[in-house]
Amino acid sequence: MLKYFISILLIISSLKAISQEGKSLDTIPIKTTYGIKFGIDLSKQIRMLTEPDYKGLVFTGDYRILDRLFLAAEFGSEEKKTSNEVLDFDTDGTFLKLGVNYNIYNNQKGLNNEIYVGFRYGLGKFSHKLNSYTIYNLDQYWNQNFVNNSSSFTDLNASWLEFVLGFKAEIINNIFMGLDLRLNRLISQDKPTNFSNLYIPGFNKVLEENNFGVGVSYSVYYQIPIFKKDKK
Amino acid sequence: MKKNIILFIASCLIISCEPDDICLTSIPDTPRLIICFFDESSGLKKEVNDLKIQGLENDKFYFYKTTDSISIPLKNLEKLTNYLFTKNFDENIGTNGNDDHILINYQYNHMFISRACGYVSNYDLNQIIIERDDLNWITKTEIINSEVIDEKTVHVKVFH
Repeated sequence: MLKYFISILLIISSLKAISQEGKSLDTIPIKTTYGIKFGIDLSKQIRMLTEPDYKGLVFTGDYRILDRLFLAAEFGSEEKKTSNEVLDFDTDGTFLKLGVNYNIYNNQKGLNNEIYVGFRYGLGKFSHKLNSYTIYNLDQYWNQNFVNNSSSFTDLNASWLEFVLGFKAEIINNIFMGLDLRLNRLISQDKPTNFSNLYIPGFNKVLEENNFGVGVSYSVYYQIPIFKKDKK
Repeated sequence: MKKNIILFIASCLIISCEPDDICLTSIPDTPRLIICFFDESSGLKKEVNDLKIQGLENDKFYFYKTTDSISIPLKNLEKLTNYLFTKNFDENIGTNGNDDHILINYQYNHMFISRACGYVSNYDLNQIIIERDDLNWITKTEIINSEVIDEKTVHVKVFH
């Protein structure tokens, strides 16, 4: 994961450098664009290349309402197989996240880059299909510890909060690239009977000892400019 | 610069949050059935001399010793486990001693534990049957705790 992370980071920073060179000409009108951005979270596609048992598609967007404040939303679906020595199950589901981003970066004249902090409220609907499991039994006398009958846990819901830290850079006019990191905290979940939500689409892997999770997204956006406003 | 610092901190968070997916040995595994042997007349604990425990349809001994209590595993995918309890067994001679066929009938429940440990099996005992033969050394059985959820208590008393 970190390997991709670093390479993406390098690509983005180089792109940003190029874009800044192009814009370093002294443009006089200090106006800033208010618009709506639509994007796709490409980190899911990258993950699909590295993890064969994962499928994900996530759309993302934001809308600038104040100089530094953006309304942000994401929705998508994920399918993931989890298998370890003792469990093998498939999870699939859809999710919606709503929240805000606050830009803490002081842009140079005419630039629209962002370094932002934000939060999201996430809602997910999902189901698990348990394919097989192993019974924890130190006694191997009967050797009947592998269970291969599948069971389904459907119509499960969860909600969570995400703290977001990220940046977006305008690489060409109205095209943005962004990377962000998330720290998630589960608020509520439907516990399946005799199983557990070990993976929640949109939330990511669920730890049993605590309610925290982590995530990353790498998105490309197209901005539809709505109006320009003088910068204060 | 500020960006780099923030990203560095965040990436440290991401890699350090991965837990160890290890099933700790402090978590109890699937319980075995605990059987204690009692004297049929006095009702006191009584050892069984040279007891050999072997599952029917199983090539291996489960164990062979002189004892007054045993713990034996039950099958996790069948509701019936068959054992041969052989008294006065002499391993040098082979087939000898008095063997009694014991049938243990139960319901099994697979209970979810965790990502790392998976499931454990618990059992609900229904019935214990000693197959009649010419010379049964076991006279009577009694289920005193039908829920096999741990190995802390005796589940079955066997009188001989």
